[in-house]
Amino acid sequence: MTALHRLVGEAARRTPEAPAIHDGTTTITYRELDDRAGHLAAGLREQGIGKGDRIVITADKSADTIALMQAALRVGAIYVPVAPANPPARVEKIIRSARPKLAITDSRTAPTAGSAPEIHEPEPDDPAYVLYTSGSTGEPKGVCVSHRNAEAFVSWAARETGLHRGDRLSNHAPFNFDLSVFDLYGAFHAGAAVDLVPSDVAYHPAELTDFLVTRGITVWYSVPSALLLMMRQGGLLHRDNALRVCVFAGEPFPSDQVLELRKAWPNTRLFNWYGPTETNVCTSYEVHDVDPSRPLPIGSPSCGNNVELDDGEIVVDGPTVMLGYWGGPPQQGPYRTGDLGRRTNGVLEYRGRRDAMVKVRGHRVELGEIETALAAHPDVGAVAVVVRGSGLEAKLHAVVVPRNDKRPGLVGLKRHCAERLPGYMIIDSLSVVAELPRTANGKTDRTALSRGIQ
Amino acid sequence: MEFGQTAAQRDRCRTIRDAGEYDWQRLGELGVLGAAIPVEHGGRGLGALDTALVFEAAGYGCHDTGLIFAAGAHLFAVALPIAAFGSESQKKKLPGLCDGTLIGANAMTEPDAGSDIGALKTTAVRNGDDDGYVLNGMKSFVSNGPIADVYVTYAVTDPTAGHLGTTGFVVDAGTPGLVRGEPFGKLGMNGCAAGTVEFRDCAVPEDAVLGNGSLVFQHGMLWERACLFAIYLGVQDRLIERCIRHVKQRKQFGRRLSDFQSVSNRVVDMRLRLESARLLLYKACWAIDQDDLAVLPAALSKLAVSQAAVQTALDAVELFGGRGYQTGEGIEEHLRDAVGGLIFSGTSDIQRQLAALELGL
Amino acid sequence: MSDEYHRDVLEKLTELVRDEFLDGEDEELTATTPLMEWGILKSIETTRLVTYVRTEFGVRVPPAQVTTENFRDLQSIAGLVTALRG
Repeated sequence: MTALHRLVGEAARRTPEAPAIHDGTTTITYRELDDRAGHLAAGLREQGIGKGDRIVITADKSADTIALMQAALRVGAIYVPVAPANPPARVEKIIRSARPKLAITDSRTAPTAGSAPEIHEPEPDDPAYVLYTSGSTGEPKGVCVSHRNAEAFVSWAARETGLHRGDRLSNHAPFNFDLSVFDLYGAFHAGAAVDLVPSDVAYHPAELTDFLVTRGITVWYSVPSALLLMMRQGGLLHRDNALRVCVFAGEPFPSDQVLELRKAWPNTRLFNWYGPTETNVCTSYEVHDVDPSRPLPIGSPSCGNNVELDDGEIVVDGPTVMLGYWGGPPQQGPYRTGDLGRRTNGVLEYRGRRDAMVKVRGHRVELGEIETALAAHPDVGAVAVVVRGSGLEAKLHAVVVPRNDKRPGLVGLKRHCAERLPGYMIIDSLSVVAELPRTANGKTDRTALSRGIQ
Repeated sequence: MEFGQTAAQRDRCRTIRDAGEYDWQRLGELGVLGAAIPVEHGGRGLGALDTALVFEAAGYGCHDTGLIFAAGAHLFAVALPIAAFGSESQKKKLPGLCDGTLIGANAMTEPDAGSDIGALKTTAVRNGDDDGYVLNGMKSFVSNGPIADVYVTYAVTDPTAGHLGTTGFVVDAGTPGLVRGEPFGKLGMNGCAAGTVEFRDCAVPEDAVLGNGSLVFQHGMLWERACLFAIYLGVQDRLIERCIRHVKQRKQFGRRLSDFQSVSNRVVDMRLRLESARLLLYKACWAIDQDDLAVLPAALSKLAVSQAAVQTALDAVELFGGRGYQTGEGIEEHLRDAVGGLIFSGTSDIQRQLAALELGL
Repeated sequence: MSDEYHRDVLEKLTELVRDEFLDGEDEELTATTPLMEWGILKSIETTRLVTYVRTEFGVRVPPAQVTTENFRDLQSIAGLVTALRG
């Protein structure tokens, strides 16, 4: 396969006038993107930036920002994308950790120069980019991804989804979230176009649905939260669309709602991908039939990885396992995800976070299992279960977003739990809310939930 | 302590406290092991208050507190439940349990369930082929566990019925699948061997069923909280007497310790705490005997007695100074033995929770 | 009148369960809602209910009567209280 930093150049040679990026009303062709990346690379070179230097990019999503990321790779630098929505304190922590030679907040003002420099040829294990995730201690951790890591994923993903020149991929995730790696590099790999979802409509159901439908997206990739929002409040299932492939990852998708999607879109290929940023996508499941009484499987190993269960924990070894955390020791051997899995009929199911195992009434309880069960209730749209109190006082509290107009009740949900779960996993109390709090990446913000109800 | 006692009570207590040598057989002969068991089953047929007096006397007379504790666990959590709920064939074990030829152990506590019977994980599933059940699960802290002949244990039989869905069973040592561990080390009560008991596909007959787990367990617990803790009253009596002898003999700065008001006040406070706890305990036992509401008095009594035992033992260590801290003097072991009292038969937190519920909170 | 007493007990018990154990929600709570099976009565709630019966109706529920049959639902608890009043 073509190396990561050469994808755009190759596409520009093959199809110079093909659209590479749609950004609102602007369309950038591969030739334009290649030129822009070349000028930016020259500017970076002039600034003395070269192999191994870090460039922190806090700029908004745009064609310029993508060109800058390309430019960084062309001079052998490591780019560190940071969503501009991050609080300044967090950005500061990231900058302290990454120690960049350059920090760019507006890609339009990035340095440029006349002639494109010679493209730097990296070693496969040289770092390409660093994605900061939130560590459990509150200190951001920089996941360091090599060219080999990224290429293994991109070529697998492009093959798996059958990407081709005519595709139009959406880009919903911010660039610091590894879902965006597929959108950008998958498109460049195939010579397809990527269409950037403006970050300010990322969670507006109507606008998002309009985007997907009117812009003729053929490949969609996002967290389930965004799809659920479009399904419930954006009328997604009632609009015609051009979707060929729809991929979701990042959190569990309640299986009964996947079933709804499956029924509404019989001809769209649906994929459930799994993997923490540290391993990128390490398992994949293509959805054919859906058993609404079971969690949606996360499938079988992808990208040439080896995925094992060790005492229930998902452990990954293979080409997409990160180099290590920036500033930390290199990752040695298999990566322990901290996620719990189970093999059912030969495919993996996700059971929740190892550290989300809590002890209530003397029993070890996996909150994700209660959430999966509750999500199958006809009146439940979205749900998060948290523990209230501690020790003898520990209680299971469900926070629920109604699926439609009917407000789910405590007795009904207790009954629903009782029919599916052991007695000690029946919820104790309930609050009904309009929306669950979300993290910057669009996942349910559990910390905010626990804080809110303590 | 003499107040209100009958001649019979006084004689019984004297025999026990002055017995001199104690071992399991002797406790059987003295009527301690079967104190509360009906006479027709080989016991002494005593009520809760009389039984408490017996254990108080044993706690005073016997310097091996762990041994008396083992006798208490045996009587209140094994023999007594069998006498109260057992079938005729189960009751045939009672004479042996009373005279000391058999040792009983209560296998309730699990790694994740101490006093909460609703949190048990051990299961008892109906045996497919014939009558009876198959037990599976791990009991993590069983007093007398390594040496017992008869076990009373609890397992979930109806998972849909929460805390009421458990059943008590009587299981003999030697039943295939009953695996007992070696005694483990612990802070105090070293005269009482404790260990794990595991059930691995342990098949028991229909006649092993003792009754509804919650009912059986609560009955035994109530007696245990009230009567068994009388051991600590006797122990404290003995310890305070020893403290008084010590402070009257020992001199510091040319004066007897007891002449220092800070010392004599401390001894008075020890006695005050003991007498208050004793009255609460008698009241709890009396409530049981009167078939009156006993949960609240028993919880309060258990709290008061266990806390007094720890504080009295701490005070004794301080009064004895360096000697109190040394092993071999027999002072520090009271402290180690007392700490267990905060945990056994429901922790202090559990007692407070029970009391709060009884108060309608 | 035993029927009237039974109705009164049932009403008060329903109120207790709804207000104390279900955060004031009463949808779906009926005299035949399975309280044990659906995790509405756990050990602490059962004890609170027994204490309530004692203070509110002056009826002592002997431990041996605290069974899954008697505490299955509000109707059976009310029946037990009525029977115990004699």
